[in-house]
Amino acid sequence: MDESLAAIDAGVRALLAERLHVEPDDVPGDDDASLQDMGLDSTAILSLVTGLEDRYDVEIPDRDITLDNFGSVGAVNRYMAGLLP
Amino acid sequence: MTAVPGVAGHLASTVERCGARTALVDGDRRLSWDQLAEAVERRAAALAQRDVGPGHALAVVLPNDTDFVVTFLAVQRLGALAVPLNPLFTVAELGRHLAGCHVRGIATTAALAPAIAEWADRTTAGEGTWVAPAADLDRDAASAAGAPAPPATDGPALYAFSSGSTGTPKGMVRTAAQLAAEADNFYDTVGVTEGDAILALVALFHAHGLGNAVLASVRSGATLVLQAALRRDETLALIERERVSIFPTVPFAAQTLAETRRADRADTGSLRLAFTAGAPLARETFDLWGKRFGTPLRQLYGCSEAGSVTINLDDDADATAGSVGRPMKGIDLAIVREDGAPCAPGENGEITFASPAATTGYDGVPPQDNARSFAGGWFRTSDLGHVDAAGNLYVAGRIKLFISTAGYKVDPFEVEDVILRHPAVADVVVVGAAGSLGEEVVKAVVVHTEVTDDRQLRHELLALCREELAVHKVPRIVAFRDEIPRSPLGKILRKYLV
Repeated sequence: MDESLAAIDAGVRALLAERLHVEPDDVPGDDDASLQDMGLDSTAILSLVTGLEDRYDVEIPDRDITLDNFGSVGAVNRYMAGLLP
Repeated sequence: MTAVPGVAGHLASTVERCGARTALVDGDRRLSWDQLAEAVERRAAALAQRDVGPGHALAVVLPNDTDFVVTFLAVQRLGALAVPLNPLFTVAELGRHLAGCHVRGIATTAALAPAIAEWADRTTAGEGTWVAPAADLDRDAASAAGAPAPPATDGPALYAFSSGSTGTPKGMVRTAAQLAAEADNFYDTVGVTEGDAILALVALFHAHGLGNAVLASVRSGATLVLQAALRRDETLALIERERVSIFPTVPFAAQTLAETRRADRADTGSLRLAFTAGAPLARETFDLWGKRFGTPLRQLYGCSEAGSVTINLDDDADATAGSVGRPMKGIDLAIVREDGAPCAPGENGEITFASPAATTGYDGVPPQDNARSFAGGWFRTSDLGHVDAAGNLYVAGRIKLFISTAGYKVDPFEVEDVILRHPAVADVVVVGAAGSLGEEVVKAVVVHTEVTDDRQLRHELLALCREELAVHKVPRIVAFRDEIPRSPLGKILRKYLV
């Protein structure tokens, strides 16, 4: 994992803890672990999205809020890496 | 024209007054009041052929779409009884809710119909119940036969549910006249007109959406703009395109929209009344909303038993931001002590009210329970609150233990019942843990029978919950303890668990 991806990963995990009360211990180290399996429903994902927008000063359009982009921590990391300059 | 009671009567007079105006917007579909009335007549005829008549129940398991509105109004038109249920429920949950209702049929989506039909085939509760996609009902009906004349007297019109304290949802009947009174109260208090557009994003199967979107629109002639789920770009575009003026919502959706910076680029100037219900509104959300949309976010207080009870329309929105407002027209409010004596201004007590829109009792509970909850026409809500000197109501919490999460009420006992089925669980208590914005998240505190891998057990418990429960009831947090703290009298000390 390169430097920026590691920073994004840390940011995403911090947001999961802050906004969704998922204890850091409960976020699987495995990048492909499903966010749904962590008990996150569509409203929780939306809360993560607005948190990411706020933290990184970006816009995430509705059409991008898909399982492909928000199904797992790794997917969110990759999506955000593509969005950030 | 003979007077028709209830919501059907409201529909008839609105159609007469507003015929060509837009009644309903659902994606690309637009119906005038005349077209909506035709669709309702067709649907009523189709339901009558499927044996739905006065006093008969029809389950309506649909999202916020045209079929929900048309089917609900067709049931009202027939003098039958609508049982709206959450389309996100698992089949097991639907079964628990339908067990006492004796529904003639279940109108649902094409996607849900096969699983529900399978449930109806294999259970006694579902015996003799037909299941059909709502959209197919009209097509399947024999042509030309009209619906029978609507009944001229009041009767059961809605079967609603309130989460009980036993893990079983409590059902109740509300009559056509009670629903009409609810619509009248809202109409008279808020001053809705046919020039308004109401955004119906809040679930229509729930009292908030049914009363403050559907009934309000049918009573006033306001356009009903439907959206099935919060999608921010779509929601903002709808507000702009349809000139939405009234927006009943929940704190979570309001917070999400207010956090969305690109909302500044949308023209939302048409919004004149946005209000939340179902959970406390955080001051942070109120402030952010005001900054983003330039109009204050208000609070409304209501319940399944009576629909809307109070709304905050105070001139000083900022000073009263934490209040759910004063009683709607036609409703009397009283805060009482445990012995029933009235509280002084500022003193917390149980919120009680008398409303022509309220049910007169729960279905299938011991008479003494109803005698306590509905004594003398006053409903005891089990909510705690106080009124200030100006009569503004502030809700302080609940005497009951429900968890309010993302606009839903979750009964902790229902979740506990599911978790207890896992063999490695010796004891469990489900509580609402405080979220960062004053909302609650479902938290399960588990005592296990033996030393286990906590992470593995957590995984299994979440999988079990997801199988049995709607997704908003699945615990966000699962914590493990050696024992559940109890008072010397054996009462669970929930405050040590949140």
